[in-house]
Amino acid sequence: MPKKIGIEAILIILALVVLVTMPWLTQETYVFHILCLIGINIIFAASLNAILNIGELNLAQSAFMGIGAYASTLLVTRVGLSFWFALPLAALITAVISLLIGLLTLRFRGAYFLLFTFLFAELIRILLSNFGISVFGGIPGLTNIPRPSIELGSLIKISFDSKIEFYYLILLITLGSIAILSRIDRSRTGMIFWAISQSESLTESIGIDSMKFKILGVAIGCFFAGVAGSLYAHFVGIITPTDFAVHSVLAPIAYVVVGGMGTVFGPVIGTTFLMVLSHFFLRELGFYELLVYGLIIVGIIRFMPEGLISIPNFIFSRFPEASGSGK
Amino acid sequence: MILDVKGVDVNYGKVAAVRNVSFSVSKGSIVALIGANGAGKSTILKTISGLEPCNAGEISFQGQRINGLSPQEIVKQGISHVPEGRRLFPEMTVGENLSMGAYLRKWGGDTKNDLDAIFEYFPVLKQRIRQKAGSLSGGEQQMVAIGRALMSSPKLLLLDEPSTGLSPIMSQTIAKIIRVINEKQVSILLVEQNANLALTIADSGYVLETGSVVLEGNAQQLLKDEAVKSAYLGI
Repeated sequence: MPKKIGIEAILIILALVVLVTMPWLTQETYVFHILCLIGINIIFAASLNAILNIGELNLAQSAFMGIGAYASTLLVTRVGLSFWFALPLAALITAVISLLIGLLTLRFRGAYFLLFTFLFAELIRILLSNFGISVFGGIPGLTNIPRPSIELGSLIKISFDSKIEFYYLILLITLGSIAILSRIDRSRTGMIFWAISQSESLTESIGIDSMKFKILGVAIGCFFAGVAGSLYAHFVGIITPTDFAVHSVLAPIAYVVVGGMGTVFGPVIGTTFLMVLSHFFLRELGFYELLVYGLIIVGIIRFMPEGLISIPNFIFSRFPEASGSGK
Repeated sequence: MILDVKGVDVNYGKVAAVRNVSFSVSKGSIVALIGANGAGKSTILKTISGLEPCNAGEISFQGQRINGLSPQEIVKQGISHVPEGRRLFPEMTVGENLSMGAYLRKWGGDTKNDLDAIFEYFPVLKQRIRQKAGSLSGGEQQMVAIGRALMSSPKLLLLDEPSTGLSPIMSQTIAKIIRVINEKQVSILLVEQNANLALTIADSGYVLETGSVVLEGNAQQLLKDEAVKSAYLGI
């Protein structure tokens, strides 16, 4: 577990102040559009990381985000629920489906788990494209997904139509998700996830039912993939099966690795860094954009294999304490 | 008898690793299983702790059959296994490794007392409590592994090759502590290639060859036995 340093708390508070006062700094719609997408991607990257915490890479994570997106949309448009009930319910549906998949696939490890989840991702894409077209909309997907709004009596009505209002909604849900994941990470359960990722057989021999915890870990991760999916659907307004195909998990994997795997704040830092980089700075480069983007990722992985979150350790290791480094 | 193993067979696929093995551990004693590499010693320990299924025979703990139970249930009944090769969670600190051992118990007065007892056996661990387990020396890692097993407050401790890879002095230290732990009413089943060390601290011993018990008896008698001397003590 990363040690708590005073500087960390100061940085977090500073970041929060900037995020909350953002509309006073700029009114640019594009900025808020990207900030909203960063928030959704942070939740998604954190959900991916939650499953990496038990030592497995889930290639179907976008498919689960898709399940959350379609479930939330259909709950609002077909069942007539309000967004505020549809979001948690969609996340719950995603988690329940992942429980069933977890029971089947977690018997496999490493490459086998990877292949199985790859197949599941493709299966979901094909099902959404070709079956129940009257409900799922086939390849063109679902459009005109309404934005959420709050109505308290006839006096107060907040609709999240503008990007700035939606930005605050996403900011709040992102902070809440990270707070919950960080709480889990520091709990006894988080400790057991960490133990399983280091040695599953040893965890078993201590008397821990590792299967139970792995399934729980997957369900927690997929719950937040569902949250990200629901937010995405209501933010963008259009969802199609290819939005959640297996390739869309690749960029978030880079976010997690660049930020720092196995830490709660790693995915937050990685997602913010890489998305800000590509949407605000590298756009000017045109043809060379992806080349430079790729080189930066490779450079970070080469020189900081533990991710951007290890920068403080990088600096502090020049003043070594008594702590030893692992072999 | 705290542990009774009767006619146990364990197969890996079609290969028989353990054949018709019977032995017992009486309450409060140290029993050594000795034998060469591949004799089936580790397999027997894994079978007792439920990590390997047993294909025939019966294992009973405190008079109750335990084969077929899950590893979790077996730990809960009071058997704790220190696997071969000082297996630790290398990224966790010494303190975190020890607390993982108490997973099935509520953290409180009893576990704190057990932790204090472990620091009494291994004072060096108290200084290393915040250090990553992977950064410790071999002997210290073995101490953490034994300490972690004791944190589940076992009635029977299964030790798999505690002296492997340790210096003779460190082996002696570990051996002494095994005796001290045993004096606190923990029965011990000790698997060792170092027959001399094992038989010096054990009350009784069993010699295994290719999956079967070929000799058994009082540890002192085994130490003097000509066959044991020539095969395992290098005398």
